Amino acid sequence: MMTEISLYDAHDPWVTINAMHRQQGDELLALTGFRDQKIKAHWLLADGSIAREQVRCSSDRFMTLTTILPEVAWDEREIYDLFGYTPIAHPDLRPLLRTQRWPDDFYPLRAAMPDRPLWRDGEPDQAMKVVQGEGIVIMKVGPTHAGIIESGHFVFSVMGENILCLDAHLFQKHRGIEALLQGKSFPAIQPMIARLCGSDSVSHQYNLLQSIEQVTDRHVSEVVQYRRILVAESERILSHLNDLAQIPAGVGFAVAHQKGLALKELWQRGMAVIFGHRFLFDAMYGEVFTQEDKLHFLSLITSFEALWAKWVKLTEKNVAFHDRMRGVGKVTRQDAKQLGAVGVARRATGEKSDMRKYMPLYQVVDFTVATALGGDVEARFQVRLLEVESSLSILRQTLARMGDPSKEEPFVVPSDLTGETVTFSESPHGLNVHVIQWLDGKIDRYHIRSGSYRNWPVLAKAVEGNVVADFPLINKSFELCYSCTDR
Amino acid sequence: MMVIAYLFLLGLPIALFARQPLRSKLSLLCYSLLLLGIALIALYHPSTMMVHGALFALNPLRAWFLLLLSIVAVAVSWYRFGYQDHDDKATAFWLPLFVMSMTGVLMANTVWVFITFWELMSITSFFLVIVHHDREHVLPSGYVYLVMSQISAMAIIGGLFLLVSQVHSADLSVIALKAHAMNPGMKNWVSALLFIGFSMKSGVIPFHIWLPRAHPIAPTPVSSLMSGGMIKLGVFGLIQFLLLDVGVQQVFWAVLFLLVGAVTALLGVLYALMEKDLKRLLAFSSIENIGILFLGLGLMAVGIVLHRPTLEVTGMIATLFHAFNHALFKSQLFMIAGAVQQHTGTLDAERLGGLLRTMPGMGIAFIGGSMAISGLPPFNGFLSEWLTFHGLLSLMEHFGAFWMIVSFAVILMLAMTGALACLCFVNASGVIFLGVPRASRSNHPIGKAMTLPVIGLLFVCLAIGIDPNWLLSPLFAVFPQKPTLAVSSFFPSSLMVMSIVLLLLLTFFLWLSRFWTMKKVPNWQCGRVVHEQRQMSFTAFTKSVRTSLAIIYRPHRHLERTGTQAAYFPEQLIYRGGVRSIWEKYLYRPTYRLVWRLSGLTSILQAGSIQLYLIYMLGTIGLFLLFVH
Amino acid sequence: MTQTMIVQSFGFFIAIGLSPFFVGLIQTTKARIQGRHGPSVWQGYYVLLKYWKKETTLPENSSLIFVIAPIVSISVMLLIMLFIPWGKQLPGVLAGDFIMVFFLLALERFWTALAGLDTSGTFGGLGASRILTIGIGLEPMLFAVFGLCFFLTGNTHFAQISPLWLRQAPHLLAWFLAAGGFALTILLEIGRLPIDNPDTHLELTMMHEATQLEYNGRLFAFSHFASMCKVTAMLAIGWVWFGPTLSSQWWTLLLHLFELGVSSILVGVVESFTIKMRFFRIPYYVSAVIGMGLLAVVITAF
Repeated sequence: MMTEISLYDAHDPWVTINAMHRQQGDELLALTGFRDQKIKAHWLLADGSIAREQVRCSSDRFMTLTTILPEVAWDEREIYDLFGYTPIAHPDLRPLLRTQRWPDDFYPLRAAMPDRPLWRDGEPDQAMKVVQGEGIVIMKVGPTHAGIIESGHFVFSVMGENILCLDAHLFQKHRGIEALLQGKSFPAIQPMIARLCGSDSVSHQYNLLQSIEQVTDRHVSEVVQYRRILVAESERILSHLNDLAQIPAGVGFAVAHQKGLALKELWQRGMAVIFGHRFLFDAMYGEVFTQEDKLHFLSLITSFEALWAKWVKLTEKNVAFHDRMRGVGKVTRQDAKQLGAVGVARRATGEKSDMRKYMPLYQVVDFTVATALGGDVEARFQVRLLEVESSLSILRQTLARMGDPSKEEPFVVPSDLTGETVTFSESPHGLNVHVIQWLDGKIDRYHIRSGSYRNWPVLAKAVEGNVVADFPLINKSFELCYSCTDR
Repeated sequence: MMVIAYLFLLGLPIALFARQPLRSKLSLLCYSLLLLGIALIALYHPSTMMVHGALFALNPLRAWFLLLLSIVAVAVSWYRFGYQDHDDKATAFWLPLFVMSMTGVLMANTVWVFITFWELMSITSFFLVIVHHDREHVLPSGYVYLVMSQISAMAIIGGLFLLVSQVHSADLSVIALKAHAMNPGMKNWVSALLFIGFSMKSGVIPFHIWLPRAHPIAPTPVSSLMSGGMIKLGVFGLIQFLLLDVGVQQVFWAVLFLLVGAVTALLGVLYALMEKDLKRLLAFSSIENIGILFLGLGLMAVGIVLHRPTLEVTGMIATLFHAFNHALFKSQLFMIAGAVQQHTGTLDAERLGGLLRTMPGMGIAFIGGSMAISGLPPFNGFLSEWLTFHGLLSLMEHFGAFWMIVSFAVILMLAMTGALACLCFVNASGVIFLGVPRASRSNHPIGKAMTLPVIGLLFVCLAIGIDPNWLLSPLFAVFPQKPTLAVSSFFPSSLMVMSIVLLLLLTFFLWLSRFWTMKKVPNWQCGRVVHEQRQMSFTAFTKSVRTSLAIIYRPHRHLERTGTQAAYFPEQLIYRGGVRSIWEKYLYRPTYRLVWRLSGLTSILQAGSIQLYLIYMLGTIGLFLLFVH
Repeated sequence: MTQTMIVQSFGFFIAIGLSPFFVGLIQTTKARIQGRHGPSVWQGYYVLLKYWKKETTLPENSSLIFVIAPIVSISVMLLIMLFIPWGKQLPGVLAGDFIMVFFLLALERFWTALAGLDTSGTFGGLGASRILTIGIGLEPMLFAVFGLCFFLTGNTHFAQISPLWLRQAPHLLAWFLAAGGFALTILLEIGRLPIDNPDTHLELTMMHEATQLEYNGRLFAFSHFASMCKVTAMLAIGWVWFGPTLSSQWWTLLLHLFELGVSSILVGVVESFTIKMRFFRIPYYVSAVIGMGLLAVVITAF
């Protein structure tokens, strides 16, 4: 370790160029490892264009960026686990998803088609980051819970009720999707991308479509564009409804919880009728939107809004509920920036960071970016409330402007697709980026960096200093997805 | 008959057996049994044993304290057969003398004898406390104890001398008859001195600082005797001299007792919560129980001041009964602490755990003792706390607005004390005896000789808890002049019914559960295995209390992050936390510094040169001549 | 006397038998307010039967303490039920007082917490720490309310104290304060919102449930039944103290059962619109109740 620190060179061009981007205020889209010993960083510049920086890992090593860009800590650890490229002087190079069961020389993404390794025996858990000191209790929560909850494994260092440190060990159900996608064609991966996770599915679908359209230079008709907005905003509402309903559950406000879930159910049933799927899987790929769908949608919005207003009133007039959320799970603006918070978590610190402003799709509708101050659970609740309202208004605008459906000629994917794309969208959980490399119509490398993936470290930071009993509340205010983190 | 009274002096020769361990242990046991016999005869057959010698005498009150003392002594001397003391010879020499001096204090019939034995008790206990004088902190703590006990002795001597000068007799039976008639001003002075002296010896807050220092460092038999027996003698002194003989007249004294009692009980247990050293925890818990005893004394004082014999008797019975109970379970708990130390080599709760498996008898006894000390049925502690509550409630009812509010406040504090004691002892027994060990260690087996007396005490506690009447009946002889009150008026039969039905129900459901057929399977634990650091730690268990009552504890904590990227990627996270003692910071340190500064001033006079002293001498002689002239 | 005895035994068994039903009423009320149909009112019986039939296992590191704790809980609750006057009076031998009930509740808490530590898991220990820490506030609260009731009636016994509400004016206010305080206290004692949420499945927020996580089978049936009986017992004590009585013992018993049903529904309503309090705000809740008690005493004293 000491020798590696001495090798670390802060004037390495890889470090300086990325530091420069950070200073300009650019947004890091993704840090992606490639099989040919390359690592690429994609930056979204202020004018909406994308800059690409890359470094070659000579003898499988590269300069870490974590020291200047704490937000890439997980990305570099993941590259280390999956490719075996060592980030020099990374301050926390514990395995992220590698476990003791993996053979030493097993780096699944190093080969185009990884062999199935011989799993070894060993403990399932990786090294933990814990607090030392007398009387410190190490509280492990998950991966199995008393209720039906996703399989996160959280290592808390607690002193009585106080959380001193949280080490989140996710990646309990790593499916190796990025490796699985390699070598597959566009039609084959479509359903897989749509089923990456249940909460940001549409955003993933959109990124894939964008990629294929960038490579083939296809331009879809305006109606299809509008339809995509409808699907994307429908998902935002669906996901936010779920998250909004979960927050009251964290404080035992069962009425708001159940009524919120009922609202979500109403919306989901509408989605099933209009787009054919309750979770909007594959909905983005479709291009048909009939007049009947439009009427359905309008009546759904109308019936929804009446109940929605009631629900908002139920939660707003409950002073105790708001008091309960205030000051809990605070994320400072500094931490949000340093750790790369995106989406609701970022906007709840008062920053107007919404990728929809950079997405060409949204240039046709008016909306304001919802923000709140405080960075606490209440702020995140508030941002979601506002976003549901703004999404409803976007839906109404879109439906009003949408012309009659035109007959689209079926799109045939060329078989010799080649190229590299970086596509992004604002998913309900924040900036969602796909870096896709096509080679002869097949996937050569597919990197997914979802909003949840970026926000997990922020959640761990937000929890510090809070009381144990508030963790579920804080967790629910982020409501991060395990599935597209551990893809 | 008179001879029996002098038998207790046998402790003197027994001390000389110190060189032969077995003989000295055996003789101490016999000696304790003898004392127990004397106490039992004096209590249950007072007519055969009413010794009224010139020097020694026993009345029912003293016999009661002798009873509790001798039971503790019997258990302790039995326990010593298994206890491997590091410096046994010194203990063996001083221990019989210590027991003898405590007996002497109880049996003394003149002020001179009383004071002699009182001082002897202080000195012998000091030597017993510093038996391990080669260990760290032992000598300084011993000196704190010595200084405090000498201050207390001075106050007591002062008070008793004033008393003697007023009634013109040093005979305690004469004092008992005449002290009532003293003039009120003098009475207050005597009361003040006696109150300070005796309560200092009992360890009430704010005079408590010696107790948690002295009790833990002493060998276990000594700490058992000190916590179980010696500090009760302060209570004895207060009952005998202050309340019965002198008799308080102002409401002030009653309120003082109640206030000191409530504060001591509450703060005592609050401090006990923070001690991860088991013996220190028990020492603070003794302070708490002294507080409860003072509440009983307060009730008695109210009864005296307001001339309500029922309340007076209730208060006194509550005090005496609780003193007895506390002697039983506290000495028992101390003995278990000693066994834990012998078994594992440490008393630090953060390094213990799972002892129920390696010392089951001790573990069960500790949990039983914890229940008793938390005042839970069906153990004896429940009954004495019940009586204390009952007395406080009756004070609330009939004595007007002032007493109503005072007793309501005291009741709330006592209820809180009970809950805190429960927390404290669940924490201690849970962390030390349940779960898995927190640190690897080698266990030394402990013998039956240690376990049996402990279990025996537990059974006595249970037996008294189920039916206290047989034990309490002789206590009413303490008040020959007061109207006879039947014991059954204190404890209704429903209490006994409750204990018995509870035991029956427990047995029934235990049978119904068919627990012997149950299999052991891995814990659920969120899908991960049991690990010692995943258990609740002693410190963490009380963290919420520390946070909620920060005003009392003044907790401090600090989380240190190391490394170059400490903000987000610390190499190490180190937590330090603790509490501060406000008494030492705001009372004892300044006093100590003041005394130190004052003693510095004397160096101006005492410069150390012979010439100066010659001048002083000449000057004194000159002054003397002038005065005589 | 014999009639008292008969009514008392009837009341005892009926109240125990109906305990799961009363908890079912709470659950159904909550479900209806949430807009759900919810499980049947009799669900409690099915659940108990299910646990009873299942195989019982013990966690690896546990000791006999783990077995005894639920047995203590159920015994204590049955005992408390036995000392509640279901008719108007109690047979002399059962003339228990509230100090006894207070200590029995403490006994149950002691053992539940001990069993939590016995599992050598974090949640059990955390739950134990929580219930005992809350006990520090709860026990003075109980005594504030119990003491107040005693004070208003002059009797520590449960029997013969019902006509509380017929007192004159200053006492009436004290009565209201006492009744309010009692209601808030039992919400805490029976582990309901705003302090504890019995319906949660989140280990981290549990209090009483956290100590029960490792239980199953018969032992869990015991502790589950005990917590149901606790709800009934605490509500019943409330009604015995603050409610009216009727001329006949039998009618009084019926009245009590009716009142229990009504108060179960009330608990459900209150729970539906209450937010779980922050843990370190509980001292305020406790102080409020104790303040009510003190105020009532002062009102009555002067």
